[in-house]
Amino acid sequence: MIKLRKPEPVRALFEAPYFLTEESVMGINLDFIIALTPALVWGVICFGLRALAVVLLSVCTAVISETVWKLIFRQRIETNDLSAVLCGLVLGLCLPASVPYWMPVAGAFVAVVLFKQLPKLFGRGFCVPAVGGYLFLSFFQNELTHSPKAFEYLSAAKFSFDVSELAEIPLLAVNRAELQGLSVFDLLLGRCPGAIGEVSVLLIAAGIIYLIWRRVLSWKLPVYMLLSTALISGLFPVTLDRVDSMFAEVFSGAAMLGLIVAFSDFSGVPVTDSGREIYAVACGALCIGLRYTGLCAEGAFPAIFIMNLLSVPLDRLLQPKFFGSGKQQIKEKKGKEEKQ
Amino acid sequence: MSNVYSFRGGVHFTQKSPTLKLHTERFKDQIKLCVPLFIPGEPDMTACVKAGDTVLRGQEIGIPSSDGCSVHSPVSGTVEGIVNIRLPSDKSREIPAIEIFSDGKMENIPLLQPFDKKLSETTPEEIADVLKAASVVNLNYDGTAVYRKILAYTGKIRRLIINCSETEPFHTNTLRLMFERPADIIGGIKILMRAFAITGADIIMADSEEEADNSLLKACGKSKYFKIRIFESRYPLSDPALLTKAMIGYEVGPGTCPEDFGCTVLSAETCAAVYHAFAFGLPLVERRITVSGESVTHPKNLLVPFGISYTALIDKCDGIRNGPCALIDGNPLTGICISDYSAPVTASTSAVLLVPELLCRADASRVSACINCGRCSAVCPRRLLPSYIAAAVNAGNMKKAVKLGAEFCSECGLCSYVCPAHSGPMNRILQAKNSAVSEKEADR
Repeated sequence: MIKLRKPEPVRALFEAPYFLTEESVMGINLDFIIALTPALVWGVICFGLRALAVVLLSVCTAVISETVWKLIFRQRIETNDLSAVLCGLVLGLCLPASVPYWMPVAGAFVAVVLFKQLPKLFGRGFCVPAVGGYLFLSFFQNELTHSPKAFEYLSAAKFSFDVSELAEIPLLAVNRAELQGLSVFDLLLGRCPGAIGEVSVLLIAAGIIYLIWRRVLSWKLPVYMLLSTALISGLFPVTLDRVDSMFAEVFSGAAMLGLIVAFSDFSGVPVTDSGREIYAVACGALCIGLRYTGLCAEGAFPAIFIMNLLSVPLDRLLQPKFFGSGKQQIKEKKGKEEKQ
Repeated sequence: MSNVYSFRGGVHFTQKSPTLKLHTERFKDQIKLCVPLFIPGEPDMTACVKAGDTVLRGQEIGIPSSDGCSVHSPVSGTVEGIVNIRLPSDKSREIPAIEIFSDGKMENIPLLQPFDKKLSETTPEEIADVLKAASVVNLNYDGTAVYRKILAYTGKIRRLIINCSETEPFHTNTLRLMFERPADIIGGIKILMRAFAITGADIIMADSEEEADNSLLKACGKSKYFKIRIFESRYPLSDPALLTKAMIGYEVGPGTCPEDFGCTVLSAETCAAVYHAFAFGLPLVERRITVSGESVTHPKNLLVPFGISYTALIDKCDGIRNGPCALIDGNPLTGICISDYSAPVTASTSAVLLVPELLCRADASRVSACINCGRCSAVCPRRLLPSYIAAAVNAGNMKKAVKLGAEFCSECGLCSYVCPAHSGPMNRILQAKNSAVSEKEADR
């Protein structure tokens, strides 16, 4: 028998400490939403209203499915903690603007139900829900790897588009050495095909800086992740030019967006400092590794998912020694007692 | 001086203390006190006065059934009766308490005499005798009698650590003592150095602005016996285990105490009380208390006799403002919420805080499940992972919780403070810790 856990936290109304931080779950989620907003704005400028429609569909589905879930399971409805909004927003930003409208709906539903709410019945969540939803959608590779060209606005009224009308997302490992006439500078500014949120590297970087300034993230985590992505792609270049190859890998696809996505829900992130650093480094390295193997076009999300699964073992492995549990001391104490 | 000591975890509270610049006021109104006949670690006590008796300040009113400290009257006045009360810190047993109506004169008993021998000719046993007669207890820490520590550990102690830091939010009582009576602290430290037969003491201070320019530093001067150790100003700096680790490098785990490693940690208040016992022969019958918090009309530092009620303290500070509030005895992170305002203040009370009920109450709309943000493990001074322990306890798996180190928790309350979900991991850890302790007792 699987024991379902009481989902409501238990806390007496009056218990120490009587002094609580002003931070809240809502505040943390709001910070992530603010950090992702510039990328969203650029996505809308770049791909038109259809991009906004995709993201809004994803957010609305996430919020509605969470509310319905909580009504069914009679949990307290706390949409104001914004976690469902953030989940939907992240998922929407990971999708190209040209996806058929059923995809953000299905993805957000799967993310919230299967990867966000279901695991909480048995304890805590085990992964970033939006990543789970994205992986579910990656059964439809074609839709995910094709996007309209920048500033080529698609009609928001049309339900779906034929893949042949669209451009391929610049992912080096997929195309091997060709960036379809795009320069690294184009990738940096976001003048390229791609998912709604991942095209503008600069605006994502601004979001990360905001998160670090708000102290939601330690500066180490995104920096380590970025460095490991850059290092692996620089050491094993796909093209002849090391530097070009490195910049292209880092700036294309979801490598940059992954820096925020990987930490957007902490339930799949280790809590120990060293665990978090290893998580960041491994996410970056795995992202490039998976791209090279060609198993999946976009390596960042499967990499995050794999590391999510490893977070609990990582924590248990790297758990620091408890204060005062050193072996030497216990021996010394025993020696003292014997003397007495 | 240039070297600033540090420790893992902790939080620097930026709350402004409204009482920082206020001179301590002595409380000597005519009022009814209720003095509990109880000192932690001492034998049970019986009253040696009866209703209608006149008592003077410093007169014995409760004597122990076997060898131990006695309780002295904190004021001069008339005994109104003997009652049984329950202290908020330990509701399980009743203890006798003496009701005294103070006449407001604070007349000392004429028997009180300063100790007239030279310090260099005193033996530790003599010092212990004086401290026993004056019932000096370890203020701010466990509240046990200091003389027992001297008798048990003289010769085994290599480092005397005096904690003069103030890192708890709202607390200013130690700071005021340092500003107002630096010589008392120094005098007390000298006596304690003699008592433990050592020739040096480490004085712990925080590197906050408030403590940067204080008279204790000047009073220490360039004495080679006192070493000022400046620490980064973060709560829980007063934790003896952390101070021991920083000073001698040993980590004090559960089942051990700093004395096992040749260290003892005492507070500045204790040193001042030791000095008073020698210089004036005055027993420990009063202490500095900060009455503060957002709900107090006029926050104050008060020098109050033991046994005064919380109501009297609130009245002295012109009452409560801003609606319903909670009364907290001690530090807001670890203190006790008092529901009975007529209960007496004891030696273990360092501050009385009145905070708006809405702020301190984790009402249902603010509490949510753990989001695994990792703040609790980042601030834990004992290197625990509170979120994991709390999850194990919520799942009913106490064995796993103990395996994850619940016993090592120092109950500083920081994990619950920083939790953005306000899910209160400390109380889950305490459940596991208490179950581990009771299981061990059952094994015996």
